[in-house]
Amino acid sequence: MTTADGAVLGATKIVDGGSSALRWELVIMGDGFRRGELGRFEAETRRVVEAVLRTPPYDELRAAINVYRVDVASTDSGATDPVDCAGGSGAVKRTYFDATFCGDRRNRRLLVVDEATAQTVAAEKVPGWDAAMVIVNSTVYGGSGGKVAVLSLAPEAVDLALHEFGHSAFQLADEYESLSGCGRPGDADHAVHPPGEPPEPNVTVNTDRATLKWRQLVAPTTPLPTSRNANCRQCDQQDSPQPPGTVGLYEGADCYHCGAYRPEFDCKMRTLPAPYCAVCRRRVRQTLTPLLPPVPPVAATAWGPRRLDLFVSGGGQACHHKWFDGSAWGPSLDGAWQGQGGILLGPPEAVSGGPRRLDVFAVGSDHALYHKAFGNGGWAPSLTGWRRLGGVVQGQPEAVSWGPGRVDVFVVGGHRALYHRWSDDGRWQPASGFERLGGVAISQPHAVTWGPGRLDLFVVGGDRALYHRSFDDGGWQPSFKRLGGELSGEPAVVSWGSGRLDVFAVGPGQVLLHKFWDGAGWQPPQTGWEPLGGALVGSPAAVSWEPGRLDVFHVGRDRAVYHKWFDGSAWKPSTDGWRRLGGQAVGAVSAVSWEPGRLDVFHVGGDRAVYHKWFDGSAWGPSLDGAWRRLGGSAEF
Amino acid sequence: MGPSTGPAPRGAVRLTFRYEGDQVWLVSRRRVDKLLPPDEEAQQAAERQGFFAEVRSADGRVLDRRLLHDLVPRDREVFADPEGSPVRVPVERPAGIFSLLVPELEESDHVALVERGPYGQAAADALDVGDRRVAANELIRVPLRGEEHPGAAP
Repeated sequence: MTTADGAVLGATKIVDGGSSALRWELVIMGDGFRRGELGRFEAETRRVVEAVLRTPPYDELRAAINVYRVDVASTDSGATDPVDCAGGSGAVKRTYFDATFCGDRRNRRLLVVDEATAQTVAAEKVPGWDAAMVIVNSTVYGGSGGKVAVLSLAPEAVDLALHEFGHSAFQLADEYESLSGCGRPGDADHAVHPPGEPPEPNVTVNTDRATLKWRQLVAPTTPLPTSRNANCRQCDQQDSPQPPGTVGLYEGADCYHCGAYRPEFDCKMRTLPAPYCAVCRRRVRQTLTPLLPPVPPVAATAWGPRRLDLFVSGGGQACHHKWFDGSAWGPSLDGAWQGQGGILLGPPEAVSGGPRRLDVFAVGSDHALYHKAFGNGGWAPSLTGWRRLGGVVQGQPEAVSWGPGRVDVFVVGGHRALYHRWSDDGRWQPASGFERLGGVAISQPHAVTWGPGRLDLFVVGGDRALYHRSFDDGGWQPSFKRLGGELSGEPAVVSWGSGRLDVFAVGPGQVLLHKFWDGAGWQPPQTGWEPLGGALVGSPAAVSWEPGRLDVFHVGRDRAVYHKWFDGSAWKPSTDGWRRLGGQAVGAVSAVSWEPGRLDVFHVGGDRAVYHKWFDGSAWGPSLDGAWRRLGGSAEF
Repeated sequence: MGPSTGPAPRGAVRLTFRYEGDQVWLVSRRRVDKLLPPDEEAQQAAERQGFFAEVRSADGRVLDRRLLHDLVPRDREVFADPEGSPVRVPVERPAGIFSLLVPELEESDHVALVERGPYGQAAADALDVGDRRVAANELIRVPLRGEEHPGAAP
């Protein structure tokens, strides 16, 4: 039984969250499937993947995940099942990964594979793999963990895989309180956890509320410890003293009866059917949230009433364009997009400085910044050509225009500092390259202008606070000013007129935060922020159609788009309330307004097509909380 | 002066190791086109017990630290009861391979696999409760510069 007992046939990306370099990648391989059974492997893989992606918090993070299916044909069907273990059939199967029950010659449920071979195949097919799984063609319940999660076709085995991902991909500890099983021989020996704080985020020996690893999730009224085991020679027998979901300190964890604590009474890292506890969900989010697409996949701009231009990175990573001219979508509604060439690393950026003027920027495969412009009825340098503006860019560019003929573009470059170039009537400045604006950004740059000669630049700094630097009277402020916050994702900035700035960002608990400049100072003052509710996945989008009006959008944990607005006197539908606009977005949302009363909102759906919803001043089209209009395309990000 | 004066995003390195008992060998080192966000938990866990991968500069500064769970497992989980908790059974002869991804940073010189404080009852007996002066045991140090290492254990 070796790799001679089969062959690796190929890999297929079955969940496409985007570029391999920027996503968490799960590889699923099969064992004990003969060539004629690979259809079943495909179906079983789909079932497992759907179950994983339905499980919180993976359900809200699917845009950060790629899944690959690796088809492996084995000589025999099934798995070896030695009679050494009670119930073993004695079957000996020749399979590629040597799947066998009774992996320790004592426990039939211990279904193991050759982990070295599985890791080698995973690396050959998906060099950047983060987690690997082998599905074994047997309906007998079984599985194992380690470097590779192994599971049989038994439906309950999916929970086993989710438990193992907790270990192998997110470094979570076991939250059960026995090594050999409660009440089993040897159980009494695992009484008290040794001293020293375990490194894993979900178990602790520390009972100090002030320094506890998950103190932010513990309510002040929850007693600590929350439960104690009265007899350390056995597992705790009591029921939970708190309602389900209460985060505290429950004694019994990390395979010890006493001295170690878990965050909730139950968790998937303790018993398999349970959901992940809040601390484990937080760890998964902490790992995967930075891999969510940082900027909206659709760049949308309007040069005037009844005009829209959309740009995405489409098939072959080329730039693709679609436009609305007031009467119809070009080149067509739900069909082709106009190819505009290039090999883009991430979504393009688009801005309009006036009627019939577009400037589009993108980062090329050499990490340099590229530009093309539409004016005088045509594209320059050509429809599919791009002009190289140089640099080595990290992430995506941000562009603004304060009027015809003027465009400013910002990028994050070396040492995560901010850099700037601008064009006056087609002449790029500085002529020699980029102007260095300094700072250390962990976000993309975000810029806005309230009129000629004024620029405001925002980034999230290394301490996760927001930083701001403005350009006025022909010069930049001397340095970035810290505006506070403990932010994740990308902020959104908008100006409804001279002397007004509104900034939106994602704060702790994935709540939307707001701060504004009223011409005299920041409100709330200094480093304060106003919470506006929500449960954001990814980053917000903000737009203003006239002074006093703000519209903000985000994608929620159910992947629907949500909306709230400020009408000049109050937030609607309420300060922390949001109106659901439906949809199934896999990236952040984009919004644009071409005139007062008009909103156009775009997202990319699970089929990678672009979807559109609009507000015409009286109602949402095609409907409020229902269908979106499909604009086709195949966006990559 | 422009962005081109700084480093390009440099991706990651996949390191594959073979282990047998307490011995760990490098099997391969390959560059991977992947951007790895920092492991925030590992930064906070620097003084805790456990296994870590530390990317260091030539002068020994830790540039990146990643938490590694159960690097050299001495037991395995058995899932006898789909409705209940798993149990652990000892591994007779710990041996196998593992791989990890570390970021390729501008000043990266080498990566060290570090075990801070023995993690078990025997070690606990030798420690005072609350003692945070955990000893760091470097299991292996692997250079990150130079040609890729396609594989070969000693």
